[in-house]
Amino acid sequence: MGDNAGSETIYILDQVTPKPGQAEAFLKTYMEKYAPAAQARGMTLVHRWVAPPMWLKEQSNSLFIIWSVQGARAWWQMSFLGRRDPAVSGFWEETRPMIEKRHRCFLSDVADVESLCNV
Amino acid sequence: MFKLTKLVTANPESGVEGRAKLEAGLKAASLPGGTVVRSMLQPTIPGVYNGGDYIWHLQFADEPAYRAWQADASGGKAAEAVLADKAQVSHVDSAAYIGGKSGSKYDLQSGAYRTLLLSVNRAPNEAAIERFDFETYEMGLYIPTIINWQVSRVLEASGARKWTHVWEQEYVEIGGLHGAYMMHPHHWGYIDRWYDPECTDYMIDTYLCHTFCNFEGSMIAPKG
Repeated sequence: MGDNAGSETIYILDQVTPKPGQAEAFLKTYMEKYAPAAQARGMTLVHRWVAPPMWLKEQSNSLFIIWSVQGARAWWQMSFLGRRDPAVSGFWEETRPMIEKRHRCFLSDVADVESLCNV
Repeated sequence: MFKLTKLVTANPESGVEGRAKLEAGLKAASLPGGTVVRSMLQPTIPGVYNGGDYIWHLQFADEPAYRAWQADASGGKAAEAVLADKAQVSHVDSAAYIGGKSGSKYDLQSGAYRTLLLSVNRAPNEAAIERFDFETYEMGLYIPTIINWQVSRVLEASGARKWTHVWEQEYVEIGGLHGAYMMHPHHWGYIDRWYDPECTDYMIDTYLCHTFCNFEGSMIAPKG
C-alpha cells in the first residue's frame, strides 16, 4: 500500500430527484431519518446541494447529498454496518414513493486516484 | 472445463475420526484416472463467511464427463452417499458449472484459493448480468494480487441459495485477498454496487458464501 493509504477522502454521493414539488419534504425526511444513523456509521455530511437553487412546486429539483469517509477501511465499515441495519434499506423503501429517480456513487479527488489504486 | 464446487460443513459432533472418514470418502470419489481431471479437497482457513469446513472442487473435461462421474457408483454416487450422511455432514452448498471467462498472470503452483458463491436474484435484465460478469472478470486485470481468476455461471446449484455465479481467484498468499482485493477501488468504489442494497444497481442476494483455503496446483490456470 502507498504512504497515503487510509488517509484519502472518499465521497459518497446520493443524487436524488424527488417527484415534482417534493424535494424539500424528501430532504427533511432524509435528514431526520437517514442522516443520524449515517453519521453513527462514520459518514461525515459534506454538502447538501440543490439544483436549481430554489424549491420547485410543479417540477423536480435534483438533490446532491455528499458524504465522506477517510480511506477504504472506513468505507467498508460504513457499508458493512449499513447492510446489517434494516432501517437503512427500510428508509429507501419508505421514501420510494417520493422519488422519481436516484443514484448513489463513490468518488475521490483525482489527486488521490494513484494512492487509492496502490494497494 | 466443467467444474463442481462443494462447500462442506462437517457435523460438529463427528470429531477427528468422523472428519478423517469424511475426507477419505470424498477423496476416494474424486480419484483422477477416471473422469476427474483435477481435484482439490482442502480445509477452509479461519475467517470464511458461510464458507464451510472444506472446499471440495472437481474438474472434468466437459459436461458429459461430469454426468458420467455423477452416475458412477464409485464417483458421484459414492460422494452423494457421504454428503447425505448427517452423522458426517451438516450442510453442503454446491455449484456445477462450465468454467467461464478467466485470466492468468503467471504460473502459480501454490498459494491461497478463494471462491465466492453468489445468487443474482433481482436482475433487471440479461444485459445487467452480462455487465456484472465482465466487471467481475475485470477485477483480475486491475487488482495486482489476483494471479488466476475465473467467473462462471452456474448450471446446477443447491444449498442455502440457488447459486447463479462462482467467482474464483488464486493469490500468492491469503493477504492478497484480505488486503489489495478488499482495498482496491474497483471493488468498493465500482463493482460492489451490485451487492449493495443502498445502490440502485443492487441485484445480488446479500447472503453469500465467501470461502478460501490453501492450494497445491492451480484450480484455475489452464491445465498443462
